[in-house]
Amino acid sequence: MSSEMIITVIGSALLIFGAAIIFSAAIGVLKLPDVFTRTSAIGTAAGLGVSLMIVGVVVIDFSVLNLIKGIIAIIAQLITSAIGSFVLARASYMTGSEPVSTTLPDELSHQANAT
Amino acid sequence: MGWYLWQFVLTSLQVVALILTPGRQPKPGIVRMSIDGLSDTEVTVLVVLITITPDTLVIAVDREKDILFVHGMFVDGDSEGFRKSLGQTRDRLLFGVRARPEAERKRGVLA
Amino acid sequence: MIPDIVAAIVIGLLALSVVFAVIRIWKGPTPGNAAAAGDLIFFAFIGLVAVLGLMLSITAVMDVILIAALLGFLSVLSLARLIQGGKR
Repeated sequence: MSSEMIITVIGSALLIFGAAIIFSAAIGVLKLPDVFTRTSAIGTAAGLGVSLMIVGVVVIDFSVLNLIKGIIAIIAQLITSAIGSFVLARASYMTGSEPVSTTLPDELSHQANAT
Repeated sequence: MGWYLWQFVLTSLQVVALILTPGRQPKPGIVRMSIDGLSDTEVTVLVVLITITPDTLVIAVDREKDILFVHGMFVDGDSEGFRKSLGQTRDRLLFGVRARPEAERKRGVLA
Repeated sequence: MIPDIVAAIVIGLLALSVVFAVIRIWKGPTPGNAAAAGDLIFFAFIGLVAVLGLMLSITAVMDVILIAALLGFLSVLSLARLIQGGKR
């Protein structure tokens, strides 16, 4: 009985913490000045936020199969979100989104034809 | 591996702290980084590793001149220090991937 | 099984995230901003699916999350290509 309660408490804490990180990324999307810093904030939500929520689900609803699926899901989530962030940042840069003027140093600005 | 996971959690919490502190704005910067002598596979893995840590983000890859352009959220004008920490990530990756790191270190490929 | 109060907090936080992201899509000065915010909505959706699955004790939650994590970045890739107007 009590071990069940401990599992529920830990899993709930992980779920709430993950949701709070996604929420903070949403605040960042409103607050931060340019598209590159916003993409960085979303990277936090994608990496740590979703990973914590997946771990929470596995803790509450534990089985070996769920554990394997959870590990695969976290790894896939990290890799694909990284590729997504990179492609988005590259597309934004190539269509002329300038970084915010407080970006110092900006060693890319003199480099027009980066591929 | 453990080092990388620790970096990942640490920088994530840094970004969250930055966002949740009212009135604080990031001090970002874009820095060049040399990827001289890396194969295509190694460059791909390096780009993914750099982009997973939330404060750093690869914007462009120039394969002809072998340069990465990396956007960092906490550069704060210190481009040399930032480049050094990126180089640390690259060297750790190469040390794990290459078959004979000691021999290559002597030839000067690894830092 | 999770307590109702936990489910309420998590769903509330994620719903507010989606609202903020929609505001950014509305205001966003460039299409890139809108695409990034759409990415965030997708992650909030994964979280919502996880919590709803636990609430209603659906056994297929993990499968849904796994497929979502595997296929989510295809949408980002196509959005990025759309922004660039088909150029590489």
